[in-house]
Amino acid sequence: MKRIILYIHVSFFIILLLAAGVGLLFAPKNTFSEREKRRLSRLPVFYLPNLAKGNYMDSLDNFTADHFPQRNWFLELADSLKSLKGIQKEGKKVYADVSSTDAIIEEDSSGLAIFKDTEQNRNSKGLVVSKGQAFHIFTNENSMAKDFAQALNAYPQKFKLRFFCAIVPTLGTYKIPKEYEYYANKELENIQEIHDALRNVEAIPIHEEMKKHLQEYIYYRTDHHWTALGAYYGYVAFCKKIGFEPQSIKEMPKKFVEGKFLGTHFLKTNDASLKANADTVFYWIPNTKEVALKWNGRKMEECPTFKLDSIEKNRYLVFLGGDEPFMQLTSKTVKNKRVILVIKNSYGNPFVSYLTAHYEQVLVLDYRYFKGSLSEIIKNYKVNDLLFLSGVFAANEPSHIKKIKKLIG
Amino acid sequence: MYYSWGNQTYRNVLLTLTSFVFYAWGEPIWISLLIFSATIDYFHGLMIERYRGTIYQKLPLISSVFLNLTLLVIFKYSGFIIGNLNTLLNTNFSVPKFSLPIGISFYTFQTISYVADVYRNEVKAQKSFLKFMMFVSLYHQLVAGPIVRYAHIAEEIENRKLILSDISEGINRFCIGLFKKVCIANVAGELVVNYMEGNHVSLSVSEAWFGVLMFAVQIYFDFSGYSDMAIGLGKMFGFHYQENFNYPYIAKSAIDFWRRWHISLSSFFRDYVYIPLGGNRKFLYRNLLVVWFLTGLWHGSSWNFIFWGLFWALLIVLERLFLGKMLQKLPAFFGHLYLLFFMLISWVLFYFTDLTQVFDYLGIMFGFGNALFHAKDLEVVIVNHLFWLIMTFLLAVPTYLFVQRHVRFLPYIEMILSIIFLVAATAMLVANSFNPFLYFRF
Repeated sequence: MKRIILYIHVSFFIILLLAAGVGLLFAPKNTFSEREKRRLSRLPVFYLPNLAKGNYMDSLDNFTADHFPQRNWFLELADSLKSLKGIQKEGKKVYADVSSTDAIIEEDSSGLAIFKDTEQNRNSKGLVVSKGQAFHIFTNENSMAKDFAQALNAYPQKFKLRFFCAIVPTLGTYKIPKEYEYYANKELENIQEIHDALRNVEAIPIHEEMKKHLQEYIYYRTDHHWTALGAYYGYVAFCKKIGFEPQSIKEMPKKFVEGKFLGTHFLKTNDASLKANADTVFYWIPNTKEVALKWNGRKMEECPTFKLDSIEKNRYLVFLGGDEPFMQLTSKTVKNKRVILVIKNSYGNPFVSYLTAHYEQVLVLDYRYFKGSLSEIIKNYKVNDLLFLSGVFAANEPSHIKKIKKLIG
Repeated sequence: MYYSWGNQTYRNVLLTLTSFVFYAWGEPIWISLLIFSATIDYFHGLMIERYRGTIYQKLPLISSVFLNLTLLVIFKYSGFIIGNLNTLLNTNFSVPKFSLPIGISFYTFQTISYVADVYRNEVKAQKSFLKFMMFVSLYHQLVAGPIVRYAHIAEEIENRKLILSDISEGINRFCIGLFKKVCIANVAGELVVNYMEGNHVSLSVSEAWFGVLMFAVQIYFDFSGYSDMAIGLGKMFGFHYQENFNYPYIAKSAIDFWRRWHISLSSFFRDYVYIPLGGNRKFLYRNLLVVWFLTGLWHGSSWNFIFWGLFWALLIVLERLFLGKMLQKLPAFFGHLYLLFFMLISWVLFYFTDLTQVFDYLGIMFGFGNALFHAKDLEVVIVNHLFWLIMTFLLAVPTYLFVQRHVRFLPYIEMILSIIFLVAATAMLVANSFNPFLYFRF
């Protein structure tokens, strides 16, 4: 009897191993992971020098992890196992090992997304999910505030324009789980440090304006960005600084994107309470009948300010259609010849359209992906004002600061 | 395939080839070094045998030890030595750049122990090159130990039997090891990164202790997990390796700890360094110092490992002088507390290769940092990991031995558990690209 059971045990083990091997070799392969929203790695091409260096085997390992038989089932199982690690007191759960949300994503030659920023978690205690709301805790441990400000300070030395800088805090500045109260002021400390170090760049205290509207839906629950409403209050803060009369949000038609939005914080954690509290993406259409153009690598081509098709994978893409290297919004109703250049990362996307009420042209430049000449843009478009806009995490990422420095040449 | 061939030679060939493929998976180039090293020691063994009884008998031993240590020094310590020379003499030699051949610390020690044992006439030299190659390259323990002595498996190299219950037990053991590595060590590793990496500016006292405690969990479950996998794989193929760990964290003194931790390494140093130097009969303290200096150095080519080794030497000397007797008189609780306290401090030395960081971190642990005494968010982390922490504790103490005595159908439960462990570990591996290999320095 015992012998039979031993046979069963041993055979079962061998069958499992064989099944995994056979599945890996012969089962049809997916090329895209819906859940992770990324392309899966391809079977590496055999190349002898790579074999000698061990690279070939590394790629083979990645391939195996990406195409393991029943991968999705195992991913689900891993999530359940992880939730068994302990109790979530009052629904609070920490995801300590999340990678930086501001990592600059570039694709390598094989089309595999690579995260350029290796210095992740430098300023973070991780992601805390509490009652269906994600908080990315900022610790200000590795403050890059001075470096960031210095990168900006180089601009007024080269160009004669009016310069502004706006740093957007996260929700943690206003509302934070009580165990994390120690970090509640860290973002503002960092922002203040940036403001103090700026020379000939005017700081816009966005955080003060947002503080007045905490009861409103100014941050997403499942994503690291601010909402279009949050961006509107950022715009109000900008208007106050420069002396414009902000257009009332009530006069702009309010729309929303069909379907639920599960943002980056959800994708990284797959947290059930975030899933149950999915976001809705609202947006407000300015009354300026603006025309948007984007640089497609060869020429400027027309594109929508609010993209509504094929954004199911990431509904934040509704704003400008995502991070384009360079865009131009031309207002049809405003004829004042004023031009503003916004140098931004993804925080700028819901923000810039509001500016069309005050500028004939709003130029939008993503410092991460723009490859042209900044001087030419400033000269050719006769730029009057220049605004830097970034979230507080990105402002403290060395790779981002490097890009901003590189932009000026 | 292995099981279907009745012929032992075929089996040996197959096992050796699989080992090569396994090794090549990580470091294809250095397989040449492995073969080179094995070839040298194969001939040295034969030469000792041939000149036995003559005055030449000692020459092959000296030459073998010299060659093996030279290889080890060149590939593992050259960067360290040159770096130190440069600082000391203000010279500017360039540090050679090559990756550390995986497992070199393990297989050079295995071959040294073989040649030494042949010299002492404790085993007969292996006549077959194939069999010797198989011994050196056995992939089960090639990368992360344990250090298998030729003498322990000499009989099984010649003649091993495949027993069904052995294969089943081997599977159990392998799956437990995999589970320990993937589901405990890796999870602890993520926590370690959160508390021990970075510049520690806002690290609180409680978090610093928790961080190093998690490192203790990580390093024990990582290493003993690998040893379990090696022992399990060995059993599946008919080899019975010695145990490498015996619940080290329940030790009551430093001496006790090192009888339970990485047994194959400490016994290697005991048999081939400590006792030949005179053991406890003459120059006791010099011998202890040498052994612990080498033990530290073996773990990595950096000063912090040397200090780590000497730190343990200090504890052991103190225990031999008076502390051991004192602890014996006190209730066992104090012994545990004493050991755990100093062990955690030793892991701080072990973790940071940069000594300023060691003092920085120890400073925070003892309240000299600027941050809080206790960060409340640590509680969230602990509650989030509560069940995992309990499980980890139960696996670190001899719960298994207790269960073994009291549960009747344990072997059957173990079989079911092995499959559960395998599936769970696979899921975590598939889901997690986070899989740092801790023992790469050795």
